[in-house]
Amino acid sequence: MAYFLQQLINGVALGMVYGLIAIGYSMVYGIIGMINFAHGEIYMIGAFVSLIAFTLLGMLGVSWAPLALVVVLLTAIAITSLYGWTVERIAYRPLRGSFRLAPLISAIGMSIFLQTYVQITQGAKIKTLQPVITGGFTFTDASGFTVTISWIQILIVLLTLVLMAGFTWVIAKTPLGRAQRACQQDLKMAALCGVDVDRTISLTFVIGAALAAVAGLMATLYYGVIDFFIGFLAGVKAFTAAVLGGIGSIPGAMLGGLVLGLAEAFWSGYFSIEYKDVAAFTILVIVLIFLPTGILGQPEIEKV
Amino acid sequence: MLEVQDVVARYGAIEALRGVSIRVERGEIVTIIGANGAGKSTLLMTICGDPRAASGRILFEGRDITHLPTYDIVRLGIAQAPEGRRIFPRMTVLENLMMGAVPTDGSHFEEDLERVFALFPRLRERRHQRGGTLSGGEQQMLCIGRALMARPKLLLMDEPSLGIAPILVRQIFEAIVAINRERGLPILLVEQNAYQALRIAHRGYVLAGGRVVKQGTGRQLLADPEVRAAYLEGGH
Repeated sequence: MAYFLQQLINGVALGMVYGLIAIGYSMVYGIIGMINFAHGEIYMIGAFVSLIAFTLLGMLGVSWAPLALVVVLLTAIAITSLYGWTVERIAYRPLRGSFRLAPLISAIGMSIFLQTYVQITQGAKIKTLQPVITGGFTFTDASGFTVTISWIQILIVLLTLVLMAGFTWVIAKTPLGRAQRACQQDLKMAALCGVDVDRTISLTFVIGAALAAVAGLMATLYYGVIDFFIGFLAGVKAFTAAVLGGIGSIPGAMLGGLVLGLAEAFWSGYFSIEYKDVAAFTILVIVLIFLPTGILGQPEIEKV
Repeated sequence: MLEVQDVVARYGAIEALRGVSIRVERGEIVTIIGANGAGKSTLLMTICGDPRAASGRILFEGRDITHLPTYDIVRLGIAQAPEGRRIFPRMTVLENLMMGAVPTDGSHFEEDLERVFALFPRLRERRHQRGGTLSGGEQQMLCIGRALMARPKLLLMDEPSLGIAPILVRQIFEAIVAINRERGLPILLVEQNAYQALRIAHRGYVLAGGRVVKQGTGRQLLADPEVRAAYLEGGH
């Protein structure tokens, strides 16, 4: 039981990181119908900005963890959002109205470019971060098994829940959220309602990148090691989560992330940790075959 | 107040408009009739900047809007109730109406909402229902209501009677006349139901093959033997 609980905790924390990245895929797909393959790299950049910001703060002598966290969080969000915005602006917008595969190819190119760019500017070696937050709660059950919830896991869960609540409110209740949903449902009609469609799309990329930045920060804190290539696997898994939840659906992205995180944690816990990626992609294949619109996805056909 | 001058527009390689000139004056209902594929819907969309006019000019209140982005044209006061109604299916009726109010500053929202509900009481009953679950007629009401929420100076309507139960068609045409009379709102109305459209219109244009082939007052066109033969015989 204790072992099960431990995997559950690990899975939830991991799933929230996937979910935050998955939202970026899902939102962009929902609004312009393309898979932004460079989104994993945006997450990777979020992780690097976080690491650099922590290091700089350390050099400046800021050692109080809560302050450092807030500063790094805001810095990562700001800089990563700028990357997200720029990618859309230079790699996708000029191709809008072009044939369907064009932005997809451009996205793959952007992904390779960003990877290489970080590899060159930051070096190819693995970077490590000294633990910023340590400790947590440990429980021991009667049979001697222990369950640990680290402070980082608690932080991941709380931060994600707060972000999700805020984000859900923005989408449901604000003019920006309505404009976004309108663009998702009918781009042409949104324009006829006076919505600046280009600006709404830009903001979608900015929000997606901001959430990926938070995921990057949390992964950096959680694992303590990053390199220029982490965006690839995280990106593919978050994409899997988005498809699993129903691409285009934001609650779906979060749910898909959780399912994937849990599946991976339990697979690693009960079978073999080497094959945890196989578990993730097996899920993707099964979902694509039996549930192509995902758990919360909308079927394409609509009553007109 | 709206002047379309010799406008050419293309959809891909197809030249949908081949030099169309029309105008709409203050307070008028102007109708455009014509067969399928004559370019009627393209004309309304071109006025809104999508597709862009390849040549010619479009003036609104004396201002050249030919090259403005769609949202700017809409914010200047041209609202469209487009072909196929294009209701946001997963938004509620109320949210659809809120989307209509995007070009406004929001200070008259409640008042405008009441006016739309007064015009179409059905929408008030369904205001928390999703747009996609409405009947065709209700969607058309919502489509017109959404356009009115923009407080437009000119209303473009594309086939408001298409695919609607006959009993509702009358109601929709009555609403169009009411909107025009009570608000003095000029309306550019595209219709296949030529008889109904010409009956309520001050003036009309007949579009064929992307050109204006005839124009006149509603009454003149109704009496015109060619128009009767081509667009009015055998129905309505």
